Amino acid sequence: MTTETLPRKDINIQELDRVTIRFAGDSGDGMQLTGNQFTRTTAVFGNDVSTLPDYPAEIRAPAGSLPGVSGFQISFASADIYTPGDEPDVLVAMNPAALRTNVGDLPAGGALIVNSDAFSVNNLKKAGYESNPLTDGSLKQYNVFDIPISTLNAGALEGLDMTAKQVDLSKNFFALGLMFWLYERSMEPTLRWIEQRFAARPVIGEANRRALKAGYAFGETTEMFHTTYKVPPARLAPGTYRNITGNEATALGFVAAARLAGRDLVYGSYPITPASDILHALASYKNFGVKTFQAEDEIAAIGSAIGAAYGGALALTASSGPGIALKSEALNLAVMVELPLVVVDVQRAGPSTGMPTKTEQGDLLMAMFGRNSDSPVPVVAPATPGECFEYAIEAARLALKYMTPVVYLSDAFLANGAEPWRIPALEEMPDISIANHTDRPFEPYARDPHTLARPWAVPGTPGLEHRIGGLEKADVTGNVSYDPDNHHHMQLLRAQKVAGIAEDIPALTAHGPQSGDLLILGWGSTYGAIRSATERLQAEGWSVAHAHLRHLNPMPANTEQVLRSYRKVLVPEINLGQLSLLLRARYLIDVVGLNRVRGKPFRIIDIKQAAEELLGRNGK
Amino acid sequence: MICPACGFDNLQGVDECQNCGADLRSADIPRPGSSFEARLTVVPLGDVRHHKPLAIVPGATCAEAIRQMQQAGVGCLLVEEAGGELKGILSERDLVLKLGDRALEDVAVADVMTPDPVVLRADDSVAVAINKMAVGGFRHIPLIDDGRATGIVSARDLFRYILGVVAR
Amino acid sequence: MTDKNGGQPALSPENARVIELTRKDFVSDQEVRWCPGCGDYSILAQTQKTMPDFGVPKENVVFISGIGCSGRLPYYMNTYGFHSIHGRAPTLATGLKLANPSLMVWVVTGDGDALSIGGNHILHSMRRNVDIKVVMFNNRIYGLTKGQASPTSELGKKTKSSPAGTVDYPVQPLSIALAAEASFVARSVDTHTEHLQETLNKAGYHHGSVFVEVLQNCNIFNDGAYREFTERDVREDRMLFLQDGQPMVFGKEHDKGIRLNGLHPEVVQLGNGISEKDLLVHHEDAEDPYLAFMLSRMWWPQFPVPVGVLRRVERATHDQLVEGQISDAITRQGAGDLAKLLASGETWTVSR
Repeated sequence: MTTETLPRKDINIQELDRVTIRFAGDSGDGMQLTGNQFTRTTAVFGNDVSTLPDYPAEIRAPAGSLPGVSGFQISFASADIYTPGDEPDVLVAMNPAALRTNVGDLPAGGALIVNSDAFSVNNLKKAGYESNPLTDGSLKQYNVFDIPISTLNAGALEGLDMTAKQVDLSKNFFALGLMFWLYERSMEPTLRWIEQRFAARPVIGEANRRALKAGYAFGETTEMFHTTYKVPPARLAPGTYRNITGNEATALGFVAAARLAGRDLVYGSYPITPASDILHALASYKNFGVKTFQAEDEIAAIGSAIGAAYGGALALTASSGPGIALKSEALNLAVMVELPLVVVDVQRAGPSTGMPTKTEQGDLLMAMFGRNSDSPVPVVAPATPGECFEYAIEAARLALKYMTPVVYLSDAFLANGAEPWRIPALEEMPDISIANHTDRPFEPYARDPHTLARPWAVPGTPGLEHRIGGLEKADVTGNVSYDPDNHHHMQLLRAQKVAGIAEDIPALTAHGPQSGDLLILGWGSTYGAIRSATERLQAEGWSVAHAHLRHLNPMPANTEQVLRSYRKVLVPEINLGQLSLLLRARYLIDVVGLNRVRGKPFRIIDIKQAAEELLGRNGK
Repeated sequence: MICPACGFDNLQGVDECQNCGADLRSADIPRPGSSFEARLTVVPLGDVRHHKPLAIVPGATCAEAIRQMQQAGVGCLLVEEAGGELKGILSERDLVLKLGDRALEDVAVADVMTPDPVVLRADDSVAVAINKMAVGGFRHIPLIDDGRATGIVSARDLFRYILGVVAR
Repeated sequence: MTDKNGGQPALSPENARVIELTRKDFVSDQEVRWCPGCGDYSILAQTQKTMPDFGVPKENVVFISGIGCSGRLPYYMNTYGFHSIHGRAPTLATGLKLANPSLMVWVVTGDGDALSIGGNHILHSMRRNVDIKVVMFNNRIYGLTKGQASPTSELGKKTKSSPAGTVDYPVQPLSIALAAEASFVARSVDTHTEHLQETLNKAGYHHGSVFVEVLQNCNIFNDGAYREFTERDVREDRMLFLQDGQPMVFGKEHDKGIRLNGLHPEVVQLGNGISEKDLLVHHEDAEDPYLAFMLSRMWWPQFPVPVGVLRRVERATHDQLVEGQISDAITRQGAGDLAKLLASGETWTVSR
């Protein structure tokens, strides 16, 4: 596979270490496809890449309207990249509505490439423009490239036996070709992909090829562009990579976990944004023995998972905030009967229906406390789309080893965002299996001395017939008990069992100096923005480190010691201060929260500025 | 849903083609079948030649209304208060169907008019007007701007417009 | 992978002899704590008596209950049991059958547990034809919480929560079950022990969604709810004991019957030109549920109350269909290769 590009003349070549491009258009403009193809090529070239699609909020919207705009942001670099970028350097807007909704994020001086053919009177009206922004001077602070993409594309496709509508569908390849030229990307991977995917429609395949090459050639021959950009490949660890979204990784993680546990995966769930894709993915893995069950409601979903766990399967259910709220009584039943179960919460903006497609980190306290009585459950939270895989296995490991439900907190940003993921080899993955109990005599609530887990005696095992349920149990025998001292004892035992997990999880590590002026501590999807901000601060000479919790309950045993090694602790969260509240309550440390609840990930600059303010008060 | 780009047979309603990733969101919504249809959904009523509105007060008699219609050669009058507030619309059909045995001088326009009529704006499309007339069974629609009636579009106006397009 | 016995439990009296289980094997060591005189004692006894008949190994029998007096039953059966949360037992049962289809799963519930909070789950577990046997103890009251009205309480019922009488019309549970497409629907009575045992026995043998309503007397909070027609000396005249393939005859003297008048059932006296030939013949396995539905509407005093099996049809069960899809997928795509799955889609390699 070659990454050769065509020779250039009279063009400046500027080397950059990072570029962020946003593609935006109507659904007919094919921006998701363009974004995905650009991502593939860039990843194959060797850059580190982070992407975030921006889907329309409506299921369907009229063509050219504002709610119909679809976007795709990609950030790529020659070094490690952690976020899809604060703002784009380049905005490719295929129609007025796309321009309208996105131009506000383009900084002054940014490049704006527009399909001028789409700026008709009607389209301008649909986008709410009184006058044409391309001609009325309102875009003068940007570097505007006014290109009749539709016309040029149609010209390149002349002679092909296609309708005008089909011709227009290829213009996204024209735009793609142009961007490839601009950023010195090879067309080879996309050309091969076109050949493969359009084998059934050779005319369209030919059209796409021509469009791609025409866009590339346009960049070459036009006088418009004086500079192309070169972003050298990054130094990624050796291995085989693929692009993966958080939801894909979550689904694959649990398939792997079931294989590693030697049990069938039974998944009970109910469709809810943004978790439905997990159900769709798992439903397609039947040849792995995965049994998916689309229940009649959220409670039936977790009920079926509990029944499956009772029967000895690796049981899983997933939802988002409102669904998790519905599951709380059943989750508490799982706590009382001490059966292994993983509950995935792909968090979204709330409260109530909230903003279903927007991200938030608002369910941490619900995961910790949202059930009647003291009801401790382990809580894990992956930090990146790729980590969604390994933490699925970790959640299953804890559930099985400690005979407890585990809450796995993801969010909409992780779920839909993508990054390159080094595919782990099967040999690298842990054996998380535990054996079913078969010995007699059998006491349902006798405990393993180390883990405090009770034995797992599965129906179908001769001689171990017993009853479990939601009523309080006597220690060891598991009979129903109303004894006051027993209840106190069992409350403590259940809490102890979960607390003891702290000895079984990795220590909290700080990226940067091991002690200093400021620690930025986060959890979940804020990882990328915090890491980027920290590295920039470090580069400027500040004494700052970044630590990131993947286990929220219990926290690693050294957490307090790490926090106390820094003069101040900043906790950025997309909520009103839930981790902050836990840290204060547990460790009596006056952490400072950075709380923005806008339904969007943090910008690197927001965290950097907040850190600088805190550091400024300290002195350098 | 067959992908218009690569021909792959996707499940109904998916947003992106499973095979080639093409965005299907614009492919499965109702679209105009011909350029003529498309035109009708886009051309605003303001572009269609229509009559300046003639108005009459609700208290006027039907006899007076008929006289005005006859003089101006129109089949429909706006019924407005003195201040310009639109109260209804009076068409030939209203007179024919609702007068009954009563004498023209004895019946007020207000008794026979269609109160609170369906109205449209000048930037609503020709297609919307055709649809309203077909569904509602009437042939005249007042156009309003900022609460004030600025014209009446009749079925005949629309036929003339369509003829103009088709004959081209 | 989980240890499965591969397929449906072996249900036949022959197997029962081989395994040699008795009623005693199903009695647990827990002291039974229902109120003296409760109808639940009888239901428990008949359940324990009928278990050995199926030839299912004891360790493959599971009882799942919800919340209510009926919820206590699993503790008194010496099998695997799960006393779960209010209304949700059918959901656990569905998941359990997915994990291990060879288990024989009974769901014990009450009129509140199944038709109030659990209504949605009854609807769906029945329509999915999940192979579970739901036995609903209908005492037309909420007993455990000390006497509130239930979805089957009569209109105007005076209780602690409805001192002026209820303002809610009740439902007919068997009509609900039939509307929910349950593949086995039956009714019996707590005091008619032979009939109850026979009904539970037939229920146990059915593969598919089973719904059995047991008219149960709560002597503390709703005594005598059914006495008018279940009392020993009147029950033959006031109940219709359904027999598959037989004309609908009832009465101590077998002298009354049910015939169709237009779209309605009608009670007739045999003799005077009316013979058994004029009567409706019961067919449990009628493909369409019209007859069964009509039977579910009949109630004393307008009609004798039908008991026995109203409907029994065979359809592929939920777990059979799920297992079928799994094996189809394995046949078509080969058993899952995890390494290949992880590396699916576009990959690239970074070396050095």
